[in-house]
Amino acid sequence: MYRYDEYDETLVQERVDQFRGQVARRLSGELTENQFRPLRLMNGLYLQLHSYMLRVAIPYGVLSSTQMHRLADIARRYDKGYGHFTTRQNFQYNWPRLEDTPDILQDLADVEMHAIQTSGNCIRNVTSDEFAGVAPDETHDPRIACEIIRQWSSFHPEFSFLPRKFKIAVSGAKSDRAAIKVHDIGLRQYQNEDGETGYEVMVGGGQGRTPMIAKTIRPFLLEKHLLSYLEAIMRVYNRFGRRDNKYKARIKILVHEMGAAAFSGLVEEEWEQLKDTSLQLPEAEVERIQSYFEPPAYEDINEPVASFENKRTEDKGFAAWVNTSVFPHKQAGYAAAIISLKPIGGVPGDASAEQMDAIADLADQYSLGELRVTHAQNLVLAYVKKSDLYALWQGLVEADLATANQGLITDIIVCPGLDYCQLATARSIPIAQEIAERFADIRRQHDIGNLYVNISGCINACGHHHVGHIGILGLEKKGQESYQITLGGRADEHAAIGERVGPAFSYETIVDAVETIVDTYIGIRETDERFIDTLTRTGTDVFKEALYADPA
Amino acid sequence: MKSAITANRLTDGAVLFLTAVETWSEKMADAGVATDQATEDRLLKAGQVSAEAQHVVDPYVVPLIEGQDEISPMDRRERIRGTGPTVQQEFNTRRHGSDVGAAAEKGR
Repeated sequence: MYRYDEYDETLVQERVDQFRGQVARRLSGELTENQFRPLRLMNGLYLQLHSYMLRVAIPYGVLSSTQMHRLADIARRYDKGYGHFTTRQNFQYNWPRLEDTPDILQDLADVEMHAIQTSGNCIRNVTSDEFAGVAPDETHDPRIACEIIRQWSSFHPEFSFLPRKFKIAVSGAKSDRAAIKVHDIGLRQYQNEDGETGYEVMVGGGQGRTPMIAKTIRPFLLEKHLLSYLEAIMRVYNRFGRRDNKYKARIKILVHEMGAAAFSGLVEEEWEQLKDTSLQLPEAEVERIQSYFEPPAYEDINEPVASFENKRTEDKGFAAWVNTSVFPHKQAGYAAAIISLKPIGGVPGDASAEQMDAIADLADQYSLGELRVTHAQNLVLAYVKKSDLYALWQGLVEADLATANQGLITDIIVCPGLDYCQLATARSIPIAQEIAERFADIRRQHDIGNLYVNISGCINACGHHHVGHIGILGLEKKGQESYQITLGGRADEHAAIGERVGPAFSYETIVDAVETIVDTYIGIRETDERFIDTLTRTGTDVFKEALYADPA
Repeated sequence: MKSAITANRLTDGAVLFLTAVETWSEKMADAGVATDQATEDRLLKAGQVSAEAQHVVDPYVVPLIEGQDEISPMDRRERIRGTGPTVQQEFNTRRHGSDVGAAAEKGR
């Protein structure tokens, strides 16, 4: 894992001290709410529906067991004993007190954590592949680019007041697990035919009220030019992005209105001025950062691992968990394990302080003390020996964390919705819970197979409904919660925005509607055909007919 | 008409309702109900004075359902805001190990 250098440490500590002063002045009345709001937002502190909410950054979703223990400790001491992992690989406290936040931020700073740039119109936490460094299909470890971008974008003075927030995602594998095409900038790292390392640069993707798939503005950018090119993009956006209308201020609107070619032309023009400046990445610095992400000292293990295979045959519960929750690893004898934060009937992405402690302990015991947060709101232990998987699973069972549903219909991405969020128009968590309960039977889930249901409680799409195979958008219509369904969205390398199927459903009927879609799929699928592939083959009409057929 | 005044407490963000005697309570049932414009204006003004004194943040008027005794906001958003998340009910009654009454006291 990357470790702070003296600059990081100083900057974060200075910010804590500064915010402590700002909070004191707010509490004394020296600062009004209007004066204080932008200051608290710069430190990830929102005022939500019921309380303040503090969003903590987890750079590219990677954290240590020490940090996880600290998150748990803060949840216990300053909050209600739980916290929430977000779709941006971050962490949120739902009930912190304003007066406690300086102490919370100090506790975080003591373990190299903070809430800087988790809100506001700046470059937010860079997100990435949760299997970075271990995925068999990976050609380049995206954490290195992520860390370089983190350092460049942190407190970047020119990009602190952008037209709107800005999100960058990086992938270095064949499969896109970081949803890079629905980010403001998506970077796909790969090696070109000449053996050089670089990036495909995609710009203008995003969800929200105007969902768009990012456009490639440069098929290949040499690695050393990463920052100069990003800086050129940011400058063009900063200059031409709209500031007159919040809803048209994201870079996707600029790229769309201007056209990708024209936008790219401006970037290239700007880049000419920048590419040979000090922004060019010094090799030594890249190597220094790279050294933090060197593979650990793996043991030499021969496959198959007999103890693992035996347990898999002996114990059905373990086998079921392995089938959904164990991801292949670059290194023979190792695996990455997914910890589901989607228990049936629970709140997706939530973990209690006790669970966080248990997960951190398991990470220490079985995965080099390191953890990752996924954008699907689960956790990953990336370095588990196959011979340890059974013991890990037993530990997870004990902590109530062994739900075997990764990639299945109950592994639902969901935003906090109207139960917590100031912006929401409808509840989303209870819908997720009811869908999970409806499909709780694990055999049925496996029969249905891979299916992503994503739910947002408003048009801002924090629950990624646009890219769910089945997307659900909660709205309010005449005082009632109503839910629109989209079909065919996906966030992988074939990213697509889902298509709205028709009129919205009520709170009472939305789960039935999901079941109708699933049953329709079961009825028409071909052997071993995933939901999304059936949908691609048949189109949406057959589903629309099933959904809107006259019930008489 | 039927309305009440709500705000968040500055120190901890807790949802508060202005009572008829212009103190704040964490319980929606304690809200002072305005049934005429003059009362609503008076209560809102009291809320604003409290905000200026930095006790609360952003006071505003919540329209209530008429024709029933209990206090229930017209908007679902306000109902959920008033009674807490409809999920995780277990978190709605306690805060940081201290009881709600003590926290309410602090805001006055």
